[in-house]
Amino acid sequence: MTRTRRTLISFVALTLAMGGVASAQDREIRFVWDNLEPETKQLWHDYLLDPFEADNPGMKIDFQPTPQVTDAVRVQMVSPTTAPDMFMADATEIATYVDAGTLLPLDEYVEKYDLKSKVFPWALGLGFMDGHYYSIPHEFEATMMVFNKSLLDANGWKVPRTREEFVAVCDAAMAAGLICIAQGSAGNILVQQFAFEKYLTNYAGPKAVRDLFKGAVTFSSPDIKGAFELLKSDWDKGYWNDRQSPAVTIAQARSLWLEQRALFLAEGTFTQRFIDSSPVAFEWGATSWPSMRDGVPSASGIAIGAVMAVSKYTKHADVAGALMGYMYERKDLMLEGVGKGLQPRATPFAISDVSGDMAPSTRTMLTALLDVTKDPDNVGYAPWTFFPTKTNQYLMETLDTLFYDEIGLDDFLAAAQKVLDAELADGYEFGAP
Amino acid sequence: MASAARNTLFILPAFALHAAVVSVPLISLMFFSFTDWNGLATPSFVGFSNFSRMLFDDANFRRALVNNVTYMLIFLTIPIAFGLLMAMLTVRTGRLQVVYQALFFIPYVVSPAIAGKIFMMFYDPYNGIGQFFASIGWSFLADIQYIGNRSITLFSIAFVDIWHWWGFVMVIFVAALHQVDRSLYEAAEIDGATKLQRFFHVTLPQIRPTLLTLITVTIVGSFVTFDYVYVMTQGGPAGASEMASTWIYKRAFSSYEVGYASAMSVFVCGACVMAYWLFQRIRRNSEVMP
Repeated sequence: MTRTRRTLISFVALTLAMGGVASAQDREIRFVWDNLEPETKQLWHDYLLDPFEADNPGMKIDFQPTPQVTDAVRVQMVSPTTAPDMFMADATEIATYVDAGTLLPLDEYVEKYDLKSKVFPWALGLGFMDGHYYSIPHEFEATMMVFNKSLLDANGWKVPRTREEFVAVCDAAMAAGLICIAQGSAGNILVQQFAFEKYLTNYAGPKAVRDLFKGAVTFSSPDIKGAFELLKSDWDKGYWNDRQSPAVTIAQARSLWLEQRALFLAEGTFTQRFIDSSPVAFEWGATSWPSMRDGVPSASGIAIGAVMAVSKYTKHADVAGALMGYMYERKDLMLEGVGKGLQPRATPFAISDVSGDMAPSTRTMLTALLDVTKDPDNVGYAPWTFFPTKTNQYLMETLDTLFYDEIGLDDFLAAAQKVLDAELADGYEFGAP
Repeated sequence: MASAARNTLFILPAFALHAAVVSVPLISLMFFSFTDWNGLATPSFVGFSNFSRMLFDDANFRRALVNNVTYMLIFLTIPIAFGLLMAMLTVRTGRLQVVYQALFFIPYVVSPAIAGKIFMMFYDPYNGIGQFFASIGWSFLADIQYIGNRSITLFSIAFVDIWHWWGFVMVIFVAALHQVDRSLYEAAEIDGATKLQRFFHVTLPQIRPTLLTLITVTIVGSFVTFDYVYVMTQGGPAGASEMASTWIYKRAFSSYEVGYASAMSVFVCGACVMAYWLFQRIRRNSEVMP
């Protein structure tokens, strides 16, 4: 063998050996999340992933923001070779994964990192089923009425807090050629949740919603039926984007609000991401949706924007557990990130805790979030966190047909009840106490 | 024998790929159509209940099928007729026909997702093309609710798909027209045939194979159309633009009813095969008849 060939072979062997040593030392997990704007992805790196890897030598995170993440993960989870180690899911999806036996119980890490003392009990409880924890909550958010304060002030209108005030300002807005509530669901039926949640929370009330999904009352009960009846009535009056919501995308609806042609956006604290990236040339604010009935206080629906779960196929469960623990251990990093625009995690904090210079939009939305959630007895339930999956899907898909009189209210509610009954029979349990 | 073995070896990779991505999933699909499966857990056998539900209990699926048939009728007429007309005009332009073909083909290379998003901007009832029409005084066009008016939603989406598709149809017809023997036209002209007669008795029979292929592709394509509908309306408003494919997608990926979605897919596949078979029968019969 020539000297050159011996040298080459030695070099290759050494490289392979070093690679093997390196890979034996580094334990990497694939962490799949929702698609993120480049700026937001950078914030994740700055305030979570890079510090985690620096503080945990040998632990590596292959962070993969993915479009249509819930669909993608569901397909990937079918096989051990394609399943991600750790992934984002909606809280309501976890039960399906648990039934399929594809998730790793996280009790060990909940104990090890003392998450019971750090995470909101109601949020941690969302992932507790069949006697084990299967998911850890991530983003904490709430539904909101986002309003154009400049437009309201210019017209001498108040931010409505009661049904009467709401009707008065909507009628006045429409008379002035404005849109009361900008909302667009074309190409994105998820937006429909924002509409029916507002009326269920502020007409029927959180207790009625809880009773509905525990099976104590039905969709045809006066409170629940009344909520949908009122929503339909407001739709008929043109309050909801002049009855054009299904013909308008969410981006187009938001543009109407930006152009000051609409007073309100019926969304949530997550709307901040849109506001931060848009040229908002007016004063705005956020608060809970107004009460839609006497005796039902104004409230917002609390939500966990996403939960984290670990696949049972992972080879490095300790890395996944360590990352989840780190998210709640390093509250200082979380608060710095929140100050830069990241969504807060499901842990208590005060606005004064948020360090660094905060953008005005961040301060406005954080203040609103803390305000609407300060009374734990007066919070509603966001559908994407608490409602049973198929029932929620039915409501989102079929609300249009109610709006366009394709289906009568009684038939709509009867069909919803049928879907809910099937889910209750399958063992669905409402996730909030 | 050695040559046959060698030839077999050459087609094996393509056959293996086809089996992996077409045949095996197709057989799996048929199996899962008889199950109640959420896509994750172990499927449970439910017999024909998925098919029974689809045919008798699911009004949305039936409406989607009607929309698919409507879509098929639109695409069997407008893009084919327009594509042929433009092809016949284009071939008369001499050297410029390459330029025209390139220009008319451009929409075909635009991604449907992007085209769908762009046209949703045009269709925006507040900031879309209606504002332009209003500015030039064409109020009859300014007031049209392209998506919001449920009676025309499907046609508004079809317009975008036609914009995308017709250039491809035209290019195919141009190639077919170039294959027609010139002497047939000369002979017809000598016999005193008018332009219209030459079209029906020379052009159409000569481009018949191409025409039949395009019709077949259109029929099958109409049943599986998904992209424009999903990007633009997701089947709304109120199911006005719901297609079999979007309804199947929602059941499979949003409602975890993969077994039921498989049953609907089997039905749609069967409908495509039936339509294709029927069309081939009609074609063969028309060839046999004098």
